Amino acid sequence: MHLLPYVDKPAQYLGGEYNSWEKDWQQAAATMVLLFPDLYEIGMSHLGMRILYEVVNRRPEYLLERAFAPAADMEELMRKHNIPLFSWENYHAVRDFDIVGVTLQYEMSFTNILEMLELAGLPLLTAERAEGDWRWPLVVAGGPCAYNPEPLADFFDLFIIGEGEDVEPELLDLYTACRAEGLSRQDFLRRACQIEGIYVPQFYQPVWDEAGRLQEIQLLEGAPARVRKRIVREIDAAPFPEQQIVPFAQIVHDRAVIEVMRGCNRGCRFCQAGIIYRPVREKSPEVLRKQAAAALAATGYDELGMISLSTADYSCVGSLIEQLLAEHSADGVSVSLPSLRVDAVSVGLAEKLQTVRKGGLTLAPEAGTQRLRDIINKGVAEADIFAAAEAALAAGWNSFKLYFMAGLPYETDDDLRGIAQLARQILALARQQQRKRPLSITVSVAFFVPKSHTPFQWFGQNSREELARKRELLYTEFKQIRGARLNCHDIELSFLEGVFSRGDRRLGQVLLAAHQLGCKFDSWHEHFAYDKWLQAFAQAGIDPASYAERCFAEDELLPWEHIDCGVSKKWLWREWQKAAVAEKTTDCRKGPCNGCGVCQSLSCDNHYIEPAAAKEAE
Amino acid sequence: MSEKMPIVQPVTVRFVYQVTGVLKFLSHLDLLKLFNRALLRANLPVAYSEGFNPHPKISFGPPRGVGQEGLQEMGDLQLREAVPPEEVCQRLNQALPTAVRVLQARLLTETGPALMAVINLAVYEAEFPVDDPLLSKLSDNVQAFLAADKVEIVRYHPKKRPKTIDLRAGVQQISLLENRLHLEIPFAEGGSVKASEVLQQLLPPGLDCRLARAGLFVQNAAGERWLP
Repeated sequence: MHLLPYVDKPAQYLGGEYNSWEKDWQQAAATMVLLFPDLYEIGMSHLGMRILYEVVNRRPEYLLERAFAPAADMEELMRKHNIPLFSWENYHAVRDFDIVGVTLQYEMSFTNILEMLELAGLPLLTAERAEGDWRWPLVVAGGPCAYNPEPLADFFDLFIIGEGEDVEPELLDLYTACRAEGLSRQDFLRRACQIEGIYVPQFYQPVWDEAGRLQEIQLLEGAPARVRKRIVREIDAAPFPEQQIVPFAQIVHDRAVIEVMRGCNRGCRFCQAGIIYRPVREKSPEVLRKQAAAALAATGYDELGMISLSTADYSCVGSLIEQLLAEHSADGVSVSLPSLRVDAVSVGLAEKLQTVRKGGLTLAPEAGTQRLRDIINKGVAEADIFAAAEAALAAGWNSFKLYFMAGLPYETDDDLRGIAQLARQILALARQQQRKRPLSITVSVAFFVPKSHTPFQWFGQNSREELARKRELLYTEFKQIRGARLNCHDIELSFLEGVFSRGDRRLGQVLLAAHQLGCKFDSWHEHFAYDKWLQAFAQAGIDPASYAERCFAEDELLPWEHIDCGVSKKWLWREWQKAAVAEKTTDCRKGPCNGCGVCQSLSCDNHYIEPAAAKEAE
Repeated sequence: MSEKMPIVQPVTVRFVYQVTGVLKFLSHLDLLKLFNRALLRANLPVAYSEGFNPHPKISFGPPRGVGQEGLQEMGDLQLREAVPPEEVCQRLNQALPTAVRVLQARLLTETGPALMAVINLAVYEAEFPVDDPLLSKLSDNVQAFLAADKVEIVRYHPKKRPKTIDLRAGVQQISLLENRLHLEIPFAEGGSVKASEVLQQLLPPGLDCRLARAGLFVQNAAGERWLP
């Protein structure tokens, strides 16, 4: 690549990393490229992409390569020299692949997707790509944001809803068969929409009434009324990449990983991942130990990450950590957890790992008062917070990072003051002890963004003015606290995220306009251009506040309602009603079934490892 | 995986390696990590540093500029127990990407000073397209450079003040033979000149080259040189 001498961090553009696949382009029955709409260092840290890379490439007849967003300097050079977006493996032009797959992780990466498609030389709109039948690749997407795919519906031929391990090979099988039969692109899509977990948006036409409310979704071409997500039922048997790619360049999560479980049993009402990845499926400790040993041997990493939505909840987390440390610490390998639960047990785990240097310990109480924590069903009592803090202080941590949200439903100013109060109380706790170094606390406050398929999906975000007032209130409180520092997220960015997370198909034109105005890398502070976004909304004649700040009514048809994650709308509404009276719902690991409907709907029960059985296996 | 042995007699293996192809774009730190991981994959009995965050005891000669190939680079590796040098070569090469090769290795009989402390000369080779018409212009530039008392440039750094540097004083030897430029730069206290800076000064616009660090040496006052 003759551009590499002229760009910053050229190592990020080097394919051929250790353990990457080298497949013969000529021999492949179908070729696919996965686009990650952010920099290499972010994309390569993502486990889902690694799993799909493995699943497809294990099939000898298919080839899957990777592409990432080039940084601004590289992109400029590529445009200047007319170099289209390429795959990292062999520098193949993205537009030469049969299928282009995009992963949707975050609403504010949407403009990067359009940027990458344009850089690849592809027409952005599905309708434009349909001209000339198979002249252009199929452009498909999956990932958490595919649960509300509507704002992106104009740009994609189809979406994969749910876990892609099984669907992606099925899609390639269908593609290969249809091409062999000489079927048209349209015929292919007609068949594809019959595969469970595949959503072909052009066969679903939203109809709005005069007031602009969604009235119905018209079905075309015999498409099923609801698209239900796909899941992997036998998680122990699911293909897992042990030969993990070892990047040349430094990436954000630079370590070998094992996925200890999928799904989360907690039921926090603000959390989309907690709903859409249900049910909980834990892997057995034996499988995990085997996968850990294989991944470490194949990569040479000296760190092993135990990944999941809430690893501390894994049934035999303690014994598994002990076993992993016993097996690998002699080789200088350390084990890490991505996040901690707020209680003393988790802090105990963290101490055992010692990967977190006694610098910073991160805890996420999310809300400042017990009332609000009950409203969001966080499942953390005040006693847990203090127990965690005490355990961490005793173990020698000198600084805490505390994560909170502001702008939550039913939040009052007292709840915000409660955040400051918690910080004060923890600092007081530290002062009682004779410490060599005083404790310092960093409080990070994110502004709440309601997401589809959650109990809070009906909630309209606080207005930007209200959030600004709340931010002021917080800063005023924290100015008076010695030893605590406050960081708040960007209000405008959270607002736009709120627009798209509960948006509908009409937002497609806003995205297009924003892209044309040059919006990209919106989640990178230095690139975010709010004024351009406002201009894009004005051009499209759409008021963004009418999306982000509007509460939906109970009987209203939601733009994403035909995307079925297995959890019933009725249950979500019930949770929303319980939130109003601060009534908690127990963790379904600990109590009886709460009736969310996912196990019945997907015929797959929560699968927990019996800690007793795990002990016996030792 | 190997058990940690009681440290009886750690040995140092000094090895010569090369970095070619696209991996010339790795930074010094990227290369260090690449070797660390290859060591674990190769299952060699590496010695670890003491302390909270133990890391393998491996060290290299002076860092190379990003984008330059390295044809004869040097590294020291400490092992907890002796392994025949040929086996170190072979096992490392199996675990390394093909663009990084360990060419030879030998056991150090006594632990001397670190590579960074003894290496004081870097030799560069730049290769140009054969018969490029701009080569004669380059030749003129080389002659003018050698004849000059001083060739000053300003070095910019994003976080430091601009600094004036005399390239001529920093270059020991430079010669052009057909399409190959040979350049010798001693490591000086207080920083040496960069091969890329010298090239940029000499190259007529439009002439491209492939730049490699061909070797690292120890040189004495008499001008004799040898591999460390």
